[in-house]
Amino acid sequence: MRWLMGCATIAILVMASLMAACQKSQSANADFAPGAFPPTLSATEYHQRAWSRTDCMTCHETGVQNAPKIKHVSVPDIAKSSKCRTCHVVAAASK
Amino acid sequence: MDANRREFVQWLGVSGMMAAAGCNRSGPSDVDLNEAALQWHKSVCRFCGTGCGVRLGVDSGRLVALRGDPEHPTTKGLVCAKALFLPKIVHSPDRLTVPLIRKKGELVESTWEEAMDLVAQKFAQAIREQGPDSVAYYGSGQCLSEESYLANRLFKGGIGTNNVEGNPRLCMASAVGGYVSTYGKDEPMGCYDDIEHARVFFLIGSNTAECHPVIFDQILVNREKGRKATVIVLDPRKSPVRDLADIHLDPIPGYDLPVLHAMAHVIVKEKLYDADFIKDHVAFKTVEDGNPKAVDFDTYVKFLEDFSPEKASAASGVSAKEIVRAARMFAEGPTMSFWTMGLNQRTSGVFANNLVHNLHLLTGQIGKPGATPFSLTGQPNACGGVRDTGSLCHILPYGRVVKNPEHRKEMEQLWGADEGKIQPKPGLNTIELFRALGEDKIRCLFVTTTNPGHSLPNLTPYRDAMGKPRPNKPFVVVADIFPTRTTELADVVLPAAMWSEKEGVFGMSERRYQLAEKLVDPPGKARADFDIILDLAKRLEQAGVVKAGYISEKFQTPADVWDEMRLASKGTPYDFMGMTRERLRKERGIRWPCPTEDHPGTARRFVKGEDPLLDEGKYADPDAKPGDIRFYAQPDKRAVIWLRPAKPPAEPADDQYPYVLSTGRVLEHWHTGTMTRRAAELDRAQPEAYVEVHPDDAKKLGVSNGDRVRITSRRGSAVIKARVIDTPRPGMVFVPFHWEDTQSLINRVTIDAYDPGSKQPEFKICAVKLEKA
Repeated sequence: MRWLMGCATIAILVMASLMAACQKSQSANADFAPGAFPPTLSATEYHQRAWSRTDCMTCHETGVQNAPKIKHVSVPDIAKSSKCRTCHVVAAASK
Repeated sequence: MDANRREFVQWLGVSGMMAAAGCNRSGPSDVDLNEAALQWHKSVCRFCGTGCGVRLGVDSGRLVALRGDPEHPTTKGLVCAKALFLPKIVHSPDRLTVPLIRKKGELVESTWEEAMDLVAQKFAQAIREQGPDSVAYYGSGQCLSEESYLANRLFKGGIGTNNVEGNPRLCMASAVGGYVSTYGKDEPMGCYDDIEHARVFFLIGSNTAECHPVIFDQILVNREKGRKATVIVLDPRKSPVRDLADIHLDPIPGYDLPVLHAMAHVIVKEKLYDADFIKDHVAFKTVEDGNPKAVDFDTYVKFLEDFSPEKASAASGVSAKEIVRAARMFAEGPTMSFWTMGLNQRTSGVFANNLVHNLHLLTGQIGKPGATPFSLTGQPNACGGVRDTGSLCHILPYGRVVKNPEHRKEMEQLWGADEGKIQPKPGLNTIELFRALGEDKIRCLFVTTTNPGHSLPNLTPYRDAMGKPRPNKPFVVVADIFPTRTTELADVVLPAAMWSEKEGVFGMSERRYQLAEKLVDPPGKARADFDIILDLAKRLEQAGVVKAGYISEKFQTPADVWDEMRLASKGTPYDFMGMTRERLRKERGIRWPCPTEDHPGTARRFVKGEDPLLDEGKYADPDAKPGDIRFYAQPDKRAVIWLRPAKPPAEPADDQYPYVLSTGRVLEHWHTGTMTRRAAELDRAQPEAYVEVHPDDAKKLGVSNGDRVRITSRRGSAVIKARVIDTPRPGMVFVPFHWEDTQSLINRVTIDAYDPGSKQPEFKICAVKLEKA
């Protein structure tokens, strides 16, 4: 049980720090228009190789493999032919 | 029990990731900006020279959102991530907000009055005691056009020194040298519209995907939905543009000139050239005893015999077959070439530029939709602000040069300067200027909107020149928006207003001038550079080292300066008399030439039917038919194919320093990173410097991903984390230069050897050795 308590403590601390970081990030963005900044991409291989990939929306329109469905509201049509990396940076420090 | 533990740890990881991901899930993709709640204003991005049209959302005096402007005629709503985060950068808490003066070694808060008094007193004293050439201005391709023009006017026509330089010397000077020596005047003749029409793209020394992402996206649109263009890439590194390449030519760094000559060799040998175009519009020249000498086509053909694909292959490491394929593809056209620092930042930068123009002239791939040689610009206003206004040490506004007495006279008259005030001898180029500062020959230096304490090559002696305490140390003033590796060296730091906090014109790569209006107030006591320069000018007039009223009686606002700039352009090949301030406020930029207020601007220069200067005025040619090309900026109206030697780089790899270092950029950061590192998302995406090492080299060195590597040249060293990847050629390493911690300052390693024509340093090539740190 001791390991479980230890893990639970770590879990609480991890979640608390994540929430704090999240709140800090949201608070940093609160001074700007809602949705002002493009969401960052998770560091998947697909995203990292999205230099010439114009078909990102194949997954993100259908939601295949749990890809978040994206509406791209207020984005001009021409941007829908662009590489995703033009606007969206990858969250992790890798390319 | 073990299974439970694993599951629990997995749950922890998943939950953590979800929480982290949750932070990032909202954005313009699924949250519509409440557009009605914001005031939207048209403007232009202030990062690279693409000049993307943007709309800025303002709420309660704050810049709260940025979007691409779908009504912009050439960028059509596209913008990149750097631009989208500009509101965060503008409102960063790190902004400089009060003037600082160094007292007892420390920068301490001061007032504008005290700071400007001190600056003016130091400049006036130096000018009086040691002459006008003891002071200098070092500006930027990020200053607004009116700011650069005003500073140039003050120093050259008011103080009487040509020591006016700027960071475009580090990025664009070789492109200028290429255009001027080939066509007679600077700046591209084509435009972004050509991207839609091209069938072949030739990308040379340009990581367009990361450095000019919106241009790259337009190439993608052409390739996938338009004319299905093919792409030739000439670059020793497999940057992301290689994903698009039909042919990738990867020369040993510094040995691409033989490849360009070899492509010409194939075009000539296989008779793929345009004989009629050459007969009517091209001259051939070489240099003998330091002077240009006209030669004929046959001499050029003979010259090219030394550059067969096989010989070029032996020199460059590029496959001869691929050179032949590339030459044939280029000649098919319509071909649009794009290049940037890979060609320009070289000791043979002007020659390399000439050789690209040679290919276009040889094949007639110029002045037609989709066919043009186009140098991309790294800064938003290197073209309009520095090149066009003549804000470098050897030039004057709108194609004039200091060596030409007529040009000096014209500017003295327009400026109201005393006769003979503009000096006939060019001032010190950037490298020589900072050398002279280190030798205490320059007594006062005014730096604005740039970061030479980070960006100069062979950085250490130039940082010492600016900041090392010593008796009689020169006085250095720096105006900027953030603390930088340069402000830390300054005697006075002036807090500057940023883009959107001041009004002025940006002139981007396709000759389009666009107005960026003031929409929000600068933080604290920050002031626009325009006001700072105006203030300095008034104080120097009061001190008696500049003629009374020379500036103070003529200008109150940037719009006043703009009107004089239009007059200075009148009758020159840059003529933009028709670009009134009112038009710029209404329209989304106008491309010069634009000589009259009813002219819509010019897509392609030198082309009858498009370029108004061929219809009226001293360059008019009534005999030309629509579509005909006339290189009117050359006295004989012929562009030049140059027979240039294929010079090696200044410092190739050798036994002692067996690797070649090349530097460059990543998509998420811009130049010295002082702005982009202030947006948390951009910073997190690329938080630290890295060195790309080829796996073969990493194996030899015993280096793995993430190891710290010491990179040492004959000038200095840096210690940077390794990224083992096959993007550079074996024997080459690549380091982006955005990060400012001392260990990551890669310019302590780079070389300050420069092109003898353009004076642009060879950032792209120097010899280094590597060891695991």
